Amino acid sequence: MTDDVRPVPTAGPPPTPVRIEERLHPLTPFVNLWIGVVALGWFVVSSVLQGDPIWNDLGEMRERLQDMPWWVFLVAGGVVIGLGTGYWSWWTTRFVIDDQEFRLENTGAFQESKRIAFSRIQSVDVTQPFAARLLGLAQVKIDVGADDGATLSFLKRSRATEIRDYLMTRATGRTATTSEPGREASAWDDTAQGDQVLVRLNPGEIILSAFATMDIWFLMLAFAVPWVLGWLFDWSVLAWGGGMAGLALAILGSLSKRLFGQFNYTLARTPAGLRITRGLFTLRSQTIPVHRVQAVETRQPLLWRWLGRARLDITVLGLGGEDSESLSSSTIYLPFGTPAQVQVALAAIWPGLRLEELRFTRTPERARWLDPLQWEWMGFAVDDQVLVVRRGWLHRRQIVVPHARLQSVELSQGPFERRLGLASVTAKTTDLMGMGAISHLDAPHARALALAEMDRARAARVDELLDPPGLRTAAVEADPAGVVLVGVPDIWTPATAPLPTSLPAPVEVAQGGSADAS
Amino acid sequence: MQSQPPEFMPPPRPQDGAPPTTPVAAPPYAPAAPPYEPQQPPVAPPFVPDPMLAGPPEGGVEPFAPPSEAWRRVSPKLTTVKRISSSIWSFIVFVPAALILWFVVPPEEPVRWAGPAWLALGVAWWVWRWFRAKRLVASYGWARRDKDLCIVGGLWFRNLEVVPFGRMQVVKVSSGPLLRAYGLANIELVTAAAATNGIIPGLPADEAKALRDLIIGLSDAEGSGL
Repeated sequence: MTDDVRPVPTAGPPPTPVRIEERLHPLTPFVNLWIGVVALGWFVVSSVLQGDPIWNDLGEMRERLQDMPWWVFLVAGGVVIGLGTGYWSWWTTRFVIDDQEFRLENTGAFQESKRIAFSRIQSVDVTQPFAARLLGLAQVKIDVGADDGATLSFLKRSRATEIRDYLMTRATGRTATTSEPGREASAWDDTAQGDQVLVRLNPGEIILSAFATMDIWFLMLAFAVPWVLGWLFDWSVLAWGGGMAGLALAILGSLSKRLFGQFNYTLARTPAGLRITRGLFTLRSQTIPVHRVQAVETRQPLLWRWLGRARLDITVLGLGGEDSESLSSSTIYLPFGTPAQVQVALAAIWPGLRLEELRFTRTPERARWLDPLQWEWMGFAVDDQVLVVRRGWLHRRQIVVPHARLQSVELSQGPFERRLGLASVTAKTTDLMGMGAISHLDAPHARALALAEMDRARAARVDELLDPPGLRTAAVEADPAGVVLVGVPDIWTPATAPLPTSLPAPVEVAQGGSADAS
Repeated sequence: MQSQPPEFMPPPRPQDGAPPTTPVAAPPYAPAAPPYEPQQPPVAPPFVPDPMLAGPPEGGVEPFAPPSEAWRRVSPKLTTVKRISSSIWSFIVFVPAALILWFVVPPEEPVRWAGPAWLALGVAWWVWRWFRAKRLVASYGWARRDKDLCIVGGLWFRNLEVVPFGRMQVVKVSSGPLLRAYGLANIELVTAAAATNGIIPGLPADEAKALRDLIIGLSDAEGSGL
C-alpha cells in the first residue's frame, strides 16, 4: 500500500521471502510532465522577479487574466489534466514481486494484470531521463522479446537497481530471493561493488567517434557549399536561405546524439550479465545475459579503418533498432573501440573466442564475376562456439553467430551461381535478416557447410540443455583469465586462408580429394 | 562417399584430454582496457586446410541432393492448381489494363498500342507459367535428416532450407479453396527467426496432417525455442 514496505534482511539464517507490493514513485506524474511544470513554474517565477507577483491584488484578477498570453492557459490546462490523469494512473497501478512471480496490475478504467515469467525475461534496462535523474528516479524496462514487455516508471534509483538485479538473477535461472539487500550502484555509471569494468571510453574517444561518421561530413558539406558559393558570387539568398538553419540543427542534433548519448560508455561484467551504461544527461543502463546474445556484428567504415577503430552491434531478441536513441534499448554494443577493446568485448560474450586464431575460408575467385567488389573480403570461419561471416567492401562487416542460437540454415543457388558452380549459405537467427549470408561458396562445400552447421548447432543446443548457460556465468566470472589479451595486431584476423585459387571445381572433387594441397 | 566421412564436428574442447595446442600464459586480468600497443607486424598464421574442405562433401557434389533418403515430392495435382491460379492472376493483371488502353485511349494516340503489346506479354507469360508449372511442382520436396527437416524447391533460384525440429515453434496447415478442391494443403513452419522460409506447398491433406503431427512430436522431444 505504501512505499515503505522495503525488504528488510531478516536475522535468521533462512531468509523469509519478502513480498514487494507497492506503487510507483509518487513524483512519477511530475517527471512525465516536467516540461509543462517547468514552463508554468518559470512563468510564475518570472512574474515574481518582475516585482509584480501574480497574487498581488486578486481584485484585478480578471483584467490580469485577460492580459496574459494565451499559451499560459494552454500549458496550465495541459499540466492540470496531465497531472490529474497521471495521478489517477499512479494510484491505480501497483506491482508485485516475490519469489514466484513478477506482476504489474492496473485497476483503473481498464483493468489489467500482467504477469511475466522469470525465464522469459530477455534483458532488463534501467533508464534515467534527465528530469528523473535530477530527482533520483529511474525507469525499469523489462524486455521479454515480444512487443509486450513491462515498464516501471518511475522508481527510486536504488529500488530500480535492486529490482533489476533480482529479475536478471532470476532470468538466468539461478535462485534468488527478494530479501537479499540490493547492491549500492553508482549514480554516475551504475557500477556496483564487485562489478568488473571491461571497457570504458573516455570523452576524447567519444568526440572522435562523433566526428568520424560520414553523415556528419556530408551534412557539413551540404552546409558549407552553398555558403561558400553565396559568398563567392554574392548570392545572399542562397547563403542565408531557410534550409541553412535546418541543416545546422541536423548537424548539431547528430553530434549531440553521439556525444551525449554515448558519453561515458562503460561495459562491465556483473553477476547478472554484461552491463552497458552510457549517457551524459539521460543515463541508460542495459543488462544483457550473455547466453541470450544472438549475434554480434563488427563494423568498420572506411574512415574508421584509417583510425583503427570499429563498432560492435549486438542482436538480442527484443532490442530496438540500430540507432534507437529513445528510451528503448539500443543495439550498439561498443560504439567506438580499439582492436584491444573489440577483443575484450567479444571475449566477454564468448570467453574462448580468439579471433586471431580463426582460419577464414574465402570465397573462390570465380565469385568475382558476381561480386567484383566484395569477393575478396567475403568468407567464413568456424570454431567450436561460433560461426564468423565476413562481408563488405569499403565498409567491412564481420558477424559472429553462436552455433547454439542458430534457428535454421538455407542453402541457395541462383542461375549465375549455378553456371559458376557456386552456392550461398545463410545462417538464420532471430532479427538477423539475411546478415548471416555467406555468399558464393563452392557449391559442394556450401552444402557441406550448411549440413555441418546444423550438426554443430544441435551439439551446442544439447550442450546448453545439459549445462544451462545461465548457471554457467558464475563459473566464467570466477575465471578472469577468460579474457586473454595477446598481441592483437588488427581487428581482423590478418590473412585469409589462400584457398580460393587452388579450390577444385566440383567435378574434380568427386574424382578425388587431393586438390587441397595449399 | 561414405568411405571417408569428413570431420564435420567442431574441434574437441581443451578439457577433452588433449593438451591445448597453444600454451597461453594468461596475464592477470587488468580491469581497465590496457593501452593498445602494436607489438609485431601481423604475421599470417600457418595455413591449415579446413578439414571440412578436405574430402568430398557429404551427399556428393550435387548441392541439392537429398540428405538421407530420396526427396519426398509434393502431389502432382499441385500442377493443376498452379496452372489455374496463374491463369486467374494473369487474366486480372493483363486483360483489363489492355482493354482499357485499347478502348479508352483515343485512336490517334500511339500509346494505344501499348494495350495489345501488354496483352501479348500477358499471353506469353501465361504460356510460360503453364508449361513451367509441371517442372516447378516437381522441384518441391522435403526429407527428414535425422533431427532436421529439409525443404527443397525452386528452378532458377533453388533453395534448400534446413530447419531443426527443436526450433520449430508453430506448424501451420493451411489450404485455400482451390487447394482444398484438389484435396491438398500447405505446411508452414515458423521458427523464432523471421527469415526462416519453411513452406512445403501442395501436400495431400492426409500427409500434411501426418507430417504436422510428426513435426510437433519431434519438436516436443527436441524442444528449445530460442
